[in-house]
Amino acid sequence: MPNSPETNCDALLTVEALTVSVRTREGTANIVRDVSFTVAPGDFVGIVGESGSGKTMTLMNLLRLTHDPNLTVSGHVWFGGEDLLTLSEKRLQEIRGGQIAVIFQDAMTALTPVYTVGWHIAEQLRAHQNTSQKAAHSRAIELLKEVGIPAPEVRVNAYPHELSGGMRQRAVIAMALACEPSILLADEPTTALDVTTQAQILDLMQQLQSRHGSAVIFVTHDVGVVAQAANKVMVMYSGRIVEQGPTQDVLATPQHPYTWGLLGSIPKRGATRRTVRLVSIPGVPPSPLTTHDGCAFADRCAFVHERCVEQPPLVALAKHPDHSDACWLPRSDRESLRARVLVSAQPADPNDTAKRDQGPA
Amino acid sequence: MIGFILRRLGSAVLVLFTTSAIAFLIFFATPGIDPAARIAGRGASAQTLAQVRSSFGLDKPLPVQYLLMMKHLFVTRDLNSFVNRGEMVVPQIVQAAPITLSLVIGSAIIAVASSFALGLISALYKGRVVDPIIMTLAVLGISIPVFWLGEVANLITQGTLHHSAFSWVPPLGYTPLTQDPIQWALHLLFPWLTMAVMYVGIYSRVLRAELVAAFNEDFVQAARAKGITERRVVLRHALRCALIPVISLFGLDLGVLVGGAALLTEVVFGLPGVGFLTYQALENVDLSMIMGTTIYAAFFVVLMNALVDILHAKLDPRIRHA
Repeated sequence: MPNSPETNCDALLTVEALTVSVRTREGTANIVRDVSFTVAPGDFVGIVGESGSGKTMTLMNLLRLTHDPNLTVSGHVWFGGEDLLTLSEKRLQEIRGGQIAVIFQDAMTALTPVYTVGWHIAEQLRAHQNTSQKAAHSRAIELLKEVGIPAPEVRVNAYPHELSGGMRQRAVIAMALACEPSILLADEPTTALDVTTQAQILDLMQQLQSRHGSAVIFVTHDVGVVAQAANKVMVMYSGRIVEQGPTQDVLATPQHPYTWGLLGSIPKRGATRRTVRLVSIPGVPPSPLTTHDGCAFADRCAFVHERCVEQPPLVALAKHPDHSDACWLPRSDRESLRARVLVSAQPADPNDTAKRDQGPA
Repeated sequence: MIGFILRRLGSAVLVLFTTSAIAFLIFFATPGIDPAARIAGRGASAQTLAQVRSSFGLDKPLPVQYLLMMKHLFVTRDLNSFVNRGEMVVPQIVQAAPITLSLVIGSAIIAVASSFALGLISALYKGRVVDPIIMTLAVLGISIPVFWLGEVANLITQGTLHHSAFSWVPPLGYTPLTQDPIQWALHLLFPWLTMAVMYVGIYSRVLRAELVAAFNEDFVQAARAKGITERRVVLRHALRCALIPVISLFGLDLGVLVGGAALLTEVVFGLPGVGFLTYQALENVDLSMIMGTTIYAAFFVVLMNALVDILHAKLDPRIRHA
């Protein structure tokens, strides 16, 4: 979808200090803390992080899709000159599905089981466009064809349970694309699929994105998916962005120890003849209930030092102003420390863990 | 879908046949009991016994006896109640059925309408004050025995307040709909309300639980993300899926109630329905009548079961192909 000229050079979506906290019996849990980022037209932004890092919560709250009276959301989400967080429910409805569409993780549960695929797409169309049921139906067939569903004129009348997982996810994508949104929010759209289908769906999303020119914000815990599809990546940990930047920069020269850990835990194809043990980041992510003033990763970080009791700000690299991270380690040391982590991640050496546990101060 | 309906109705016929055969066997083939003496009733003359034996073919093999019984019930419809000498069984049931139907259907409409409203309100206001209040009242409604509630209603409307606030309530009994619709409704109003109370409690709780579960489903959030109105999200997506189990429950209850389980309400309010008829037959050990009402009840239960299944398939495409 062509973007209007005045927004062309501007950011399509600007998130400022998005903070989400939830009131629980045990106290207030901060799920998303002070997240800011911008999305330009045509961007494919990947948000990566472990389960519970707040990536889905960030995504869902861009459109205020969480319905929980115990939830407090603050910050700003600027879209087309309006703050989505303070917009009236009515105006928000026009944007949801119309200008910003969402693709959910599990297509099996994202479609209401009692309605056909065509019904779902027609409902999406008719929510924003004044079309007849019949026109919507034939448009649904076109859309299903576009996302590569064979025999779309038959499948349009199929119920969700009659389609395979990959088919269903294609149908969900077709539904999301129905109104030609300028932004697609995708919440782990490939997680519930097998690897081959994952690649197909990812491919499809990239194709459609380049064809329609929409921006995509993509949540995943799969770094491989990010490497394949995203041009920008945000690494989240415990509700905060710990590192963000262009994908090739972040993957080639990751700056934050957590990112090192993430990249180090990707299984590698056998370079050594010895059995390779899969490396993981020691420890567990902190509970969102704990209020830590300092870096949330400090407890699990091999390079923790006295400075870490303070919250590090996101600081850009001198050479790459787009690439920033939140860590107190001196820039000059990063290269050597990273090399140690990522190299030692390779063989399953008993000394390996010991070496990492010692860690430099 | 049509194939499904035909298959389902076919199996309903099979079930009906089996039920009637079992009912027949219980009455006619229980060892040590002379069915003729049972049918003829206590202290029947030898002449009556002989008449019963020949008319039911008791000297013939069982399958023939079964067919003769069915002939008396459905074809010639001249099954005699020997206890109440000369009273025909089938016409009595036919006469009682509209009363039970009036009671049950009216009550069902009230129950469904109010439980849907209450369940929906409860689910939408989950976590607020309204929700626990409604749900506690629902448990109260389920726990109150219908005969007690009925008697209290009678005490108030027919007794203490009959000459003041409730002077418009007619005396206990029944007026046919065709004769006087207003009197019909007035006679049935308190029976309807009394019987509905328990079902309102059950259905509103089930519906609330189903709705709360549906609200947590991805498809509801996905529907919201489509930019449709919240009203549409609740009614077309959440409620549409939540009502399926409630409808099933309702259909089964309806079958059982029409089949005679409305007995307590009928007895308390003096409504001569099928339940009342069964109750009297049981008191008098009127075997022919019990046989008649049993088969009548089985018919309605099986019929409602089949209808529920068809409706279920209509509402839920996942069932259709099973």
